[in-house]
Amino acid sequence: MTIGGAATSLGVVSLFVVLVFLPLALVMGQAVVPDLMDGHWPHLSLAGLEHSLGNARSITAISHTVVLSAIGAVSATVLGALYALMLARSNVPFRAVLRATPWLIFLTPGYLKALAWVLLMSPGGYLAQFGLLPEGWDTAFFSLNGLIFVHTLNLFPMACFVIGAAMSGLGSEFEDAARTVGGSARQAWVKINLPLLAPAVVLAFLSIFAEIASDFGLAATIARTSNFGLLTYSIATAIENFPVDFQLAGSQALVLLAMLCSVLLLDKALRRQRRVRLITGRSRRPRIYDLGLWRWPVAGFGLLVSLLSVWLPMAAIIARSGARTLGQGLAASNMTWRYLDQALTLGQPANQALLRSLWFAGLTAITCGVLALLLAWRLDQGGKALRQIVLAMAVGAMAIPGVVMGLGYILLWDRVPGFADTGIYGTWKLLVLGYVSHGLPYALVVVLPAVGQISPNLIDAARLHGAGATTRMFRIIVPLIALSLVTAVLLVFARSVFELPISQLLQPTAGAPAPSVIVRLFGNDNDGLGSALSLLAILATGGLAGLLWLAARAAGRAVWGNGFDSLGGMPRSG
Amino acid sequence: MALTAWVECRGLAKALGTNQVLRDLDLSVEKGEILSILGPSGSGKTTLIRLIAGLADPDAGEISVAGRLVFGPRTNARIESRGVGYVFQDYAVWPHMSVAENVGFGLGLAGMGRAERDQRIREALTSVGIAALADRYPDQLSGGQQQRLALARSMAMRPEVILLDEPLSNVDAALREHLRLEILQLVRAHGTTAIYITHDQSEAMALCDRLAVMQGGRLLQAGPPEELYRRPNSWFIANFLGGANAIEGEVADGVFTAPGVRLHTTCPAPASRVALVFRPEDALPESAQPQNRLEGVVVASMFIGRCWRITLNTGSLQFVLDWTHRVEDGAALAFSVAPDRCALVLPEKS
Amino acid sequence: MRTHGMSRRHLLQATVGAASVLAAPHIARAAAAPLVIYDSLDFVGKAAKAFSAKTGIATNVVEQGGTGGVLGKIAAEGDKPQYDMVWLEGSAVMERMAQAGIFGAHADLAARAAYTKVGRSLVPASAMFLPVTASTTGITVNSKKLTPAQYPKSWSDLANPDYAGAIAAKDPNLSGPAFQWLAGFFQAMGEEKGKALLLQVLTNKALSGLPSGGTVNKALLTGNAKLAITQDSATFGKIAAGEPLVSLYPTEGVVATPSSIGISARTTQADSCHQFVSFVLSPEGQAAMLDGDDSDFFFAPIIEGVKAKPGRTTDINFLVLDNAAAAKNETAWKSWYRENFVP
Repeated sequence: MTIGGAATSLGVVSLFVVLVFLPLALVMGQAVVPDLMDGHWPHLSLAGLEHSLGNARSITAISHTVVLSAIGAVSATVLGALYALMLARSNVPFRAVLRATPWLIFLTPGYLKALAWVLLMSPGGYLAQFGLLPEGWDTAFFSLNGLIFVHTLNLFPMACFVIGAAMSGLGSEFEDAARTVGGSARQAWVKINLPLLAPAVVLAFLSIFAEIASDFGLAATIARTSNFGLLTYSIATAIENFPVDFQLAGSQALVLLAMLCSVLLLDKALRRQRRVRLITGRSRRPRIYDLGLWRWPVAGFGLLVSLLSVWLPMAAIIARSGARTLGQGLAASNMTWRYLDQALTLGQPANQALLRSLWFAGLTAITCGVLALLLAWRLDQGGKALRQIVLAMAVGAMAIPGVVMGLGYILLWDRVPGFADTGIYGTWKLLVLGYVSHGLPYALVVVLPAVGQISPNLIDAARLHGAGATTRMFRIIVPLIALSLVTAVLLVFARSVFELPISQLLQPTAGAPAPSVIVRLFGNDNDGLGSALSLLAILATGGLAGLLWLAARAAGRAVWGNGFDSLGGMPRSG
Repeated sequence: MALTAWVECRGLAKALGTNQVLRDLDLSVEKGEILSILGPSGSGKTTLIRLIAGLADPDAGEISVAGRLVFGPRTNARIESRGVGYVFQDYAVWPHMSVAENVGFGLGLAGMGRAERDQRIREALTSVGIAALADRYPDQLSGGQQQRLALARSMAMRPEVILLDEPLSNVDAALREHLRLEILQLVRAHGTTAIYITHDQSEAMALCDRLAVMQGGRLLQAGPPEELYRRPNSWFIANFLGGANAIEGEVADGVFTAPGVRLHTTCPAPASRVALVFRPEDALPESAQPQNRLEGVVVASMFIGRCWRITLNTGSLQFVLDWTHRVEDGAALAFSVAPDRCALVLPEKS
Repeated sequence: MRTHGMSRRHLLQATVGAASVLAAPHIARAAAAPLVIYDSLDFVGKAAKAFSAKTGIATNVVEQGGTGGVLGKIAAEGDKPQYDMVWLEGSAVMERMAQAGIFGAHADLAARAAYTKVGRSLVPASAMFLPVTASTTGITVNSKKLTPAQYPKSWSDLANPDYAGAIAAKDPNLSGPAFQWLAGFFQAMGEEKGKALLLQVLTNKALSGLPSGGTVNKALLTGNAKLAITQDSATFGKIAAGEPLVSLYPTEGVVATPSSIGISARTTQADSCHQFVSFVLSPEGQAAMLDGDDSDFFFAPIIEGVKAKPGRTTDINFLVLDNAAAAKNETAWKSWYRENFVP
């Protein structure tokens, strides 16, 4: 390895050490080294670990987490697969709405949907007021059922994306081949397509499992209201006390992380076993099934999913943001502009929080975009091994619950000499750094493959024509992966605007970001202002994201001609 | 050390990991000359021109371009200052730039003014016949058009030497011959020095002033294509350039002997233990060179267009001959080879 | 109701504001380090704003989800506190932090304040934290679900079978005021008797382990609860918003839940902290803390001459918590509650 290569590897590794490993180690470490932060010589002790994990409550939290994650992952994967099948292979009507739905879900946070469902499903909530809530459904909702319901609606898009991509890569050749040797349509699916899609299905299941296990948003809202103890929330309560029960928090975080790591390893092992390359780039567009009259009920199913996962929660938030109280329903006398007015008026705390969050998220998104681009570029020039390591670290970091990360950040940046001396603890800088560590993996997962697809000859050709490193970066690489880059930036932006646990734990002293304020408002029974703030945050994010994406697309078309669309931001080699 | 040729490499060595890709390689190309480098895949030919271009650095050796040392023990000229053009196998035209922008990119970076640049772009595109496509994007071009664009893009920079890395391997066969001629004409018209990499022997011979054959990271032989064809210095080259019949045996005083074979040759002998090679098209009727006669039994006849290709069994040996007419399987056939067509090379396994 | 035009103007302002914020190179910060206050009370922001306007001393109010979030943050910061002052509800939790040496003693400030008799009684002997407002936890009923004749008069009345499975309560593990209530309840009833009564009363785990005042109110207003053991300020806030609630004070007595302020032992701005505490203990500061509609603003004043918000009962016979006993039993009582009443 050259000196430059070694420096690159060192830089990349230290970036991850500071952003992910150290904070994590400080939290986990306390499970076995109780006086890690006390300044005297640390000593190892397993007694605390045993005590923290041996009690009934911890065991309940662990089993609840496993049960919820497993059931939720199954139902979200099934729904996602059906949804993907409907979009990819049928002539279902209302495609625009049905296509947009998974994206809209993906870009709005789970806890907002959870809060909205609480407004809908409460015994005196909107559905009950309209007589739409059958007897007993309210109590049924505030339990494991409700958690599975909301997780499924919130996470099926992941399965839809993963399985949908595999389906379109699969084409219909394999299926057609099965038909030519006498298989029925059903046999072709069961015997040919399903096994070929199995890796994608497994990947979707495992990703969703990890996502549910590390989720804090629903754990802190519906699960908390239903008193369904989950690991992430249990960690949070151990942290939210004086003194903090570091041993409990650390050991439960350790369990959670072990769970997530085994899921990741399982995924890797399974994928090594089945080396099926589905996306050959040669497949033709798969055949579309004509559903005949059945297309209407199928569309009805799709629209119902869309209604339940996007439009109904949105309607609840809109209704609540314009209503004085929940109990008096949608009566005209109960309507008020007060909350929206507060959220829109400059200088009002809610409005300040919103603007702050938009600004922080913007900064985070741009930082992550730039970092991902630089990393992807350096990694592409570096060895394959480093690339694999970084991708693994990135995916691993995605699974770390924000609660654990946030606590680790406090310990690292307020307590550890050297880091504490930077003085960024308690400022917006640390919050943005926390957001960056949370968003960078997502940006990398989008940008890294895009850069990897650029033929090295395109870069070499530019060098031969006199382009220096900067010119190559801005005139060759960036335009070639522009759409992926914009997608990554928008994804990070949307996730950062709503990122909850890091916002709470790393809240700058100079003012709170929107997520902490929203959850605080709901917690303080000020649902109206909370809903108004949520609504504006969603509109601002969605509007900004949509505008940027459209602008990027339009600019791409204008500057790069028709070539842009066919590239899809990810050019073929040469 | 005086490096006098237009492009000169001395003692180049390069390893990629544990694989020694180039070993102590010398190469020189005169100004205005077109050199084809032929070799099977893995022979190191692409690595060689990547070193010349500066896309990779040699482990040892020197490279000069246009009389200027660009790589040596204390020299490593930047890529863009070497005056080297490069045409890639996969074209590597930038998909986000129009045809004209692709050509103008390097010119703009070199600081060329707008008017002059436009003039250059027009010239370059006209010279490869795609001036009408200037505003199109690469994905709207055919493979052949994309390769013309890649060529125009390099030529517009007026390089001291242009390196072509199997530029026709992705073009379909019907177009290949036509494009080959175009490239040749264009490079010659500009008097540009060119190094052309290929693994296709007919392409290599057709295109060049001089041909060099590489194998296993070494340059085996270089010279006019006809010389290599007629006087290969190794069994590998004889076989690689168009295929040949070979007989292992001894040579003494212009007479080659092997069990059942006795042939006169006027070609120089590299050793006493040699392989005699002659090409299928060198087979003559037995009356033409009665002193150099061989005979056997026909086992197969194939019509290949301009003649019949006959496989002949002599018992211990098998020959392939180009013949004017078909001969029935199982019939006896005698033929002869002129002494000046009986080339001698070191035997295959030496 | 406001007009569309108004909203549109605000939208425009917000947009311009967003643009200027995005264009700013960094978030503006005052030149001198502002006073940092960690709290979980809605009126602290108002008080700090009024203080800054009066003195020119900048303040930063840091509010997280609830008391728990603030506690965790204080604990994690350890010997490197970023706050100058902590302002929370519940004296037991403040006592615990005082014992951990987090706060400095300020008997002089306490002496100068114009406390009422109740107020004075809430000042701890150590003077390491000073009460600013008070509220209590009593019984709140939904008047649409119970007739006045059915209202309980005492804690013991909660055992009435009419209320079975319909009593909501907050989890003391998650709420400072809820622990204050539990400790005060045991103090008033005696620990043994208190525990027995609660085991008899809190029979529905879905209602007895709620995480916040907001969820208790939801259970009471739109849920299955008929009555709730909850903080009276939250109840008055809801009553003012038009909700059908009534706040009742059991005859055995209700424990005062002061919101108290503690000054960090490590603050570098002791003078400014003193000024701040003096301000919030003055009628002027208290007036700022009454300027709001949320539940926290419906506190019972403990400063002479300060009037509570209209509708707020102030004629309450407060018990003063034995902070030392509460702090001593805290872990045991909290886990007892969790084992029995939190699902």
